[in-house]
Amino acid sequence: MKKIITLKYLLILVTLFFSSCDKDFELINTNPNSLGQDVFKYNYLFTAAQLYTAGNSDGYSRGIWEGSLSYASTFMQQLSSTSGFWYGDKYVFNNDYLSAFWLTQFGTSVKSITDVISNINGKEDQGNFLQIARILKVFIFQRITDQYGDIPYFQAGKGFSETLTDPVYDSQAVIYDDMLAELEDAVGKLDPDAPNTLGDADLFYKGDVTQWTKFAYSEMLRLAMRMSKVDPEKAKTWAGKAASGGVMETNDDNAIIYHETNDALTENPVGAEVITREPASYRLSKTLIDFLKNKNDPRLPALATVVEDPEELDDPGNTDPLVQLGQANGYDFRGGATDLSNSPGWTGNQNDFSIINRTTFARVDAPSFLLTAGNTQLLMAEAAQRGWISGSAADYYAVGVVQSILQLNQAGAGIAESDAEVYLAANPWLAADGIRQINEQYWVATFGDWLETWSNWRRSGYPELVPVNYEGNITNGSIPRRFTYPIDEARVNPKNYSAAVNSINGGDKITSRVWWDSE
Amino acid sequence: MYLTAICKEGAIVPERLPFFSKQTVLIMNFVALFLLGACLQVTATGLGQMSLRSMNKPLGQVFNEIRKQTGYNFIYTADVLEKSKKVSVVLKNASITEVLAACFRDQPLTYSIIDKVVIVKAKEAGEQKRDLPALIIIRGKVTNDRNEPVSGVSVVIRGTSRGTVTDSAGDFSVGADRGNILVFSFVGYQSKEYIVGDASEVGIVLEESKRELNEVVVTALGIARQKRSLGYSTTEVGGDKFTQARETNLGNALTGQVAGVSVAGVATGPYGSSRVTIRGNSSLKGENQPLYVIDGVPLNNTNRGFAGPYGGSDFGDGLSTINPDDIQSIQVLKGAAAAALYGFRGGNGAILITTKSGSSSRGVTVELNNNFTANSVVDLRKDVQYEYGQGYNGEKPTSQYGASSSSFASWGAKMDGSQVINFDGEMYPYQGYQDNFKNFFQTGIANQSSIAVLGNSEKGNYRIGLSNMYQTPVTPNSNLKQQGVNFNSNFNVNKKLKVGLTANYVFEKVKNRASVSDAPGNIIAPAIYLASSFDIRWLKAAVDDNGNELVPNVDDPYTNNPYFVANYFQNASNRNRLTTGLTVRYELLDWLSVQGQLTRDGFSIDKKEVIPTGTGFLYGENGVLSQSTGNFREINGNINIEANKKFNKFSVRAIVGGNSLDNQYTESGVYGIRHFQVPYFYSPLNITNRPYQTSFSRFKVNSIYGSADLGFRDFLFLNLTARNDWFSTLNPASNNYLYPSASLSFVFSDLVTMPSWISFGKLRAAYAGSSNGTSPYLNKLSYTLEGFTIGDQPVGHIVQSSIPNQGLRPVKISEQELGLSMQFLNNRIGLDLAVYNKKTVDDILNVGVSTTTGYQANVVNIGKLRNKGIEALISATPVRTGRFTWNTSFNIAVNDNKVLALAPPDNNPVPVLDNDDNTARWGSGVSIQHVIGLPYAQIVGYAYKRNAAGQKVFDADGFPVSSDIVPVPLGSGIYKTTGGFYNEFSYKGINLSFLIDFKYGAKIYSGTNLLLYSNGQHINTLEGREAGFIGKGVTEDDKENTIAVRPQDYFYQITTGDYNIGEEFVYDASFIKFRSLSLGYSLPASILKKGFVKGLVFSLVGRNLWIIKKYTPNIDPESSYNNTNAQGLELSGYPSVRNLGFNVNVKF
Repeated sequence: MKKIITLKYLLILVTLFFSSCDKDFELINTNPNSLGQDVFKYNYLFTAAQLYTAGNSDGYSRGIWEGSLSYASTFMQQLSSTSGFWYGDKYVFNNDYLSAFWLTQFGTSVKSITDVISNINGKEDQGNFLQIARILKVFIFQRITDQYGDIPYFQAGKGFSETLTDPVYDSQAVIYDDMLAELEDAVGKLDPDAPNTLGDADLFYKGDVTQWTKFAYSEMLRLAMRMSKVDPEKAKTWAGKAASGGVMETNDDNAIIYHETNDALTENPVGAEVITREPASYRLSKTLIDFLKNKNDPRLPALATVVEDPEELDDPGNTDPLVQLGQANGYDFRGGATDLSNSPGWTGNQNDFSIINRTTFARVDAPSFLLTAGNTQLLMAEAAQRGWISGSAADYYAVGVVQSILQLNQAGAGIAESDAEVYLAANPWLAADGIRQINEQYWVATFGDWLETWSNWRRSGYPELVPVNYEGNITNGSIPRRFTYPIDEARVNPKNYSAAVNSINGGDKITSRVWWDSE
Repeated sequence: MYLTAICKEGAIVPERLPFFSKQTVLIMNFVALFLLGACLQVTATGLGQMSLRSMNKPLGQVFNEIRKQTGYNFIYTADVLEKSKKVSVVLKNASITEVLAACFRDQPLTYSIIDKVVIVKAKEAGEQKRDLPALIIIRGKVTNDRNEPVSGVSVVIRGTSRGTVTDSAGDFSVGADRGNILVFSFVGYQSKEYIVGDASEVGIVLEESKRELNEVVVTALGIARQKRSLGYSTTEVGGDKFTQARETNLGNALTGQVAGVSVAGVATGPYGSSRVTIRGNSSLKGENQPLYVIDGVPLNNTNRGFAGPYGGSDFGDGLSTINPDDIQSIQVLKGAAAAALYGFRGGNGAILITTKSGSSSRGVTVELNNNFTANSVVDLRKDVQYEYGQGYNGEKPTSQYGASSSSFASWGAKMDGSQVINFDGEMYPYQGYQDNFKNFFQTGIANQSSIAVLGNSEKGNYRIGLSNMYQTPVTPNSNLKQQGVNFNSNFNVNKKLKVGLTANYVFEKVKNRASVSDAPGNIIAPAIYLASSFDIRWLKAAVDDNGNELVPNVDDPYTNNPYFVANYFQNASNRNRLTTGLTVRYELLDWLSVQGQLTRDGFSIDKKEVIPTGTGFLYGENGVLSQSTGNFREINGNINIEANKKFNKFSVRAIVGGNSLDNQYTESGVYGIRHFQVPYFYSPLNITNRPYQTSFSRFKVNSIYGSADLGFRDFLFLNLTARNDWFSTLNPASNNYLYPSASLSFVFSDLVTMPSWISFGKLRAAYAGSSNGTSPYLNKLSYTLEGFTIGDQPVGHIVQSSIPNQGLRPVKISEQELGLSMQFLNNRIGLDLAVYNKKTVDDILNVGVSTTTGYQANVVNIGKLRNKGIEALISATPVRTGRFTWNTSFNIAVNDNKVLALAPPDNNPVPVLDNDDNTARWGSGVSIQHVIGLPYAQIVGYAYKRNAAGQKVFDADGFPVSSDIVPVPLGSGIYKTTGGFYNEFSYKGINLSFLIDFKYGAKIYSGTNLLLYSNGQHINTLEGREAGFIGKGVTEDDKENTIAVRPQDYFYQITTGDYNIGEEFVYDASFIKFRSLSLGYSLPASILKKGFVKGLVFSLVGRNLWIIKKYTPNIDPESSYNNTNAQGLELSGYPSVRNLGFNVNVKF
């Protein structure tokens, strides 16, 4: 009997021993250096989503450097390069570069903004925050789908929240419909009387609902105008909604990320690349310089400079418009027919050709312009000229040109408003040539945001660029119209990837076209 | 009748034992005798003959004299001496029998000898009357312990050739003198002696020699169990195997010792880590090394930093902090069944290290040991050429610039001794410099001194070991200083309560661990790759006039000046480690005890790495610093309740208990910070913006376990165990898992009568379920903030790049094993065989997912693999005479591993590691991947395209064509067959032992050979230097290839150029090595017996003496640059080092 009692006490002892140290058992698997979903402030993740949309100069910059700089800027003949790794200059295929924008945007901006939305949805007092996040999400997705066409949209970014590990690709037409509906719904739910819980975490507007309303309608207009070729009726409908909702009118409305130098992740990906990493590997394109020079554009000194040696980073160079020279696209240093010495305007010294101005855009902390009044007003001008909205195309054009020029002052240029007016007077809108004029202005006005430059060029066809035809190029001498999917998708999402590839007319190639870029 | 035992240092039997029954007293007597025998045997070794000169001395004095000379002790009742007569006898060189016979002549006493104890009794009344007949006939019967007659037993009168053998009934008769000793011996039985007294009828019971009968081994959780009862395979390795030709890292010392234990050679220098696997690798991505337990304390063995494809240093693991002099023995629990009581931690087996205790000491003993070795580099670059000198395109350098951009190229002209410019503008003779290794590396020394104080009394025992290790390796300006304290004590508070405390405290400081693999900071690479006509000593100045690195090759500043690396680069670590355990055991009842144990393993490690100001590849920046402090601790608390009962033929032992594990690691510091304000001042305070980083990891596992040992008649044993683990790392809804095991041991030689040449036979069978655990924080989403702001706003991010998995489960490992253990020819030959089949399912893989999910990978239970194999150990004592003994053992194990399933949907190969550390630095697409249907860790890369006849195919330019557009598997980096051959010869006090070990069936991708080809140093690049190299094979239209290519272009292309063919640099990594040798001399006891010193052994030791066979040119096949799962990659590793020295062991 005694033995049994002893055993009983022992078992009680064992039980006590283990239960006493187990009160925190379930809490242990929370890293004290991280925050759980219940306590995290999603404002911080919204800030991240905005910042990463603009890119940065860390590993994530690959999206902007490889997609926008190396490819789009040279497709669009604003920059030019003799270096092999600026693949866009000669339409050379490189899947790593072409997929970089996809990989970095889905991995940062999409990941962040979808997580913000899934966590604040339905939370008290976060109404405006949620609507603003939905608007930003549309903007983020537009930039991706415009480059790649059909992409995972409805199921994207939900690897954790909905355990969707093999997202289905949605057709761009459907994505556009949903993006427009989302904008309309979200902007309609913005409530100026509701508390501003986002505040300073919003790098664009500090949570100002009025500003976000303008941003949403401007984005709606951009989406609408993108459909001008493929579905003019729908374009008209949505352009009308945007115009009546109220779009951006002055540069105070611009959505800008002001980059900083305190960390690679806060740096301007374009600025960092062209000043600290590859200062000598590119030049401004002859096409751009000639265009600006011919029209005595006051933007020329703000965009271009000539330095004796681009590797001398401290030298601001000579910004006198007269000395600016553009380097032709499609040349190399290999001694053949396409050797730079055979290029038009060759001077004998590559350093005679302009690089990006080091006080405006070729700065590590240069601002990123994401959506601006200048661009928006130019699109309004085209919508008006097409008769899709009321108002005078000439007036919209005038505002668009002037605001586009003065926008550079937000990047550190010092252009007088009078100079902009002089330029406008010298280059007035002419109805007969309006569409071309508007889109050529759009081409210049989007300098630095070359994915947008390229998208609008694909839609409008302006300016009429003469493609380079470099030996061995894979586009048969035509400017590419699309980025290809990351080949890794074939490994990790094979079923949906092949369905998407099969539905592309012409296949997963850089010469194939996205839905709105109909021939 | 009360006995008084008199023995100088023996057990004490109380005079009055009223509490105990008569039977108890007898048992205690037996115990006392057993102990006496055990302690006296030692001192009596080597004695036997004695001389006695006694004139009328009392018998007691004579006994003392006999004891002094022979070590024989006497037990007698108190009244014996009173009855005795004085002794007068003179004998020279007489045997103990003769002496005793003489002393007892005419005494009213009789005596018998058991072992070395003489039991003296008064003669019975009848006996006294008898006189001694000259010859008596003794008849008797010999039986075994089952009372069966034993025939054929030899019965010999010791010292004579007279004797007989037992007949079929076991009967014998023999004539002998009183006092003669009859020796009964028969194969398979323990010999027995009988001293002829007055009896003429005797019954002799021979005990079967079962070496395993009472041999007790330590098993999981420190439970001591009879070896014969174990239903699974374990191997014990004595501590002496580690003390002679020693390794700094204990894991490396296990190589070749135990069948089924594979130690991967890691070429990271003497302070590096080891990679020990038992029965193969059972997790695709997780831990594959066994659990190490030192005196019951789980020992963390995580590697604290390793080299990847782009270089790095091995910061060692836990095993380098164990001093071999403190090790009593190491028990290797090979399979999951053996380690089943460790639950989730037992999936890879367990290695139990028992440190020495004071229990064997008599009184206070002091032991000193000193081990010194001189370590010299073995230049294995036998296949490099010294015909063509530095330069490119078959030309000598003609300018300083030309020279300084070709320092690592031997594509120059034929060396002719002419004056040629070198990298610093000096002229020198254009000739071969073959001694760059010898000129750069130094002779290293390693010295380890240990002192141990041992004490023992009935209250308990203790051992305190202190050690000091100092090493300077072959690389200059580097050293290791390690001091350790090992404490092991047991205290008997009273008869029922026992307390044990063990502690191992080690301070370790290391300066300048070598960086291996890729070149930056690699001190070895330049010595390997400098051009054949480049004398490494030209670099000795290390810096130029401005204090900047004298870069050997301006075009490749990443290969540093080795003298600059030695004197300016910094790599320091400082580790303090305390591993300690407190055990309290209370015997509640004679069959029931409870034990509580609290253990803690903890260490802190400070690391500092500096790329200094002036380093060529920093281009003027003032250096780069990483400096961190890590703190680890694991606390285990457990309680065991143990019950032991015997019922007739059955025995039962049941243990129930619980364990609570709490594991935590934190690390903080700065990593790779740059932009120092003041040059040469490498402190985080010298940087204005100091990005401090910190990491934290903690998990707990609570467990309840039980074990039941059932024994039937000591020949059939069943052991059942179960352990349930609760993991903090898993979803609380499904966080507990049960790990069962069953093992059966059947000693068939006890049931069935075996042929006489079989001494022992046992069959084993076992099954167990186990695991590998999971890492913390894999199942919840969490957030953190970036170390910067934008617009003064904090920026957040999701911590996880892999999708957290709420339903994650621990990997499941199950293993079946069968074993056979046999002893032959009176235990002279032993055989142990084991076969096993180990299956892993639900292995956790990071399956790549589409980035469009927002994540890189999904953590899922998906992998499957299996290991099956066979292990054999043959041990034998071919020779055993009085003076000469030869012991030998041979072990071999073959493990067959196969990856069965990987991630869907397409089951593509998966990288062995999740970061890029599985890729090779050189060669396109070369990496270590798991491939379905193939063994673990395949080297994948491009193979040669071959025609149907197997000939290589060359393209129109004369370059080889690769076989496929995607890399293909080229072989596993994990050895399939491992084993060792150990021999030990003893002759008088001389002991010679050596170990040969071998491994077969692995491949290695040699980055070193690739670079030697690329640099034009490899001997195979000589072909076609003048006329062009023509690849042997066919053109794409199957004609003989006749295109000659300049070797410089050809080998550039297949090494690092577009035509890279990984296959060319994949070698068979098999080898046979003469691993270690020890030649020792023990000073004979006869010399020592009067002195203060009780024992002295001097040994000459050598380790890594000779690679008997290898298939890898220029490198040691054991040259992985880290101990991760990505085995099979080699590049510029630590050179092969041969250790020679001596060991002195002194006991006081």
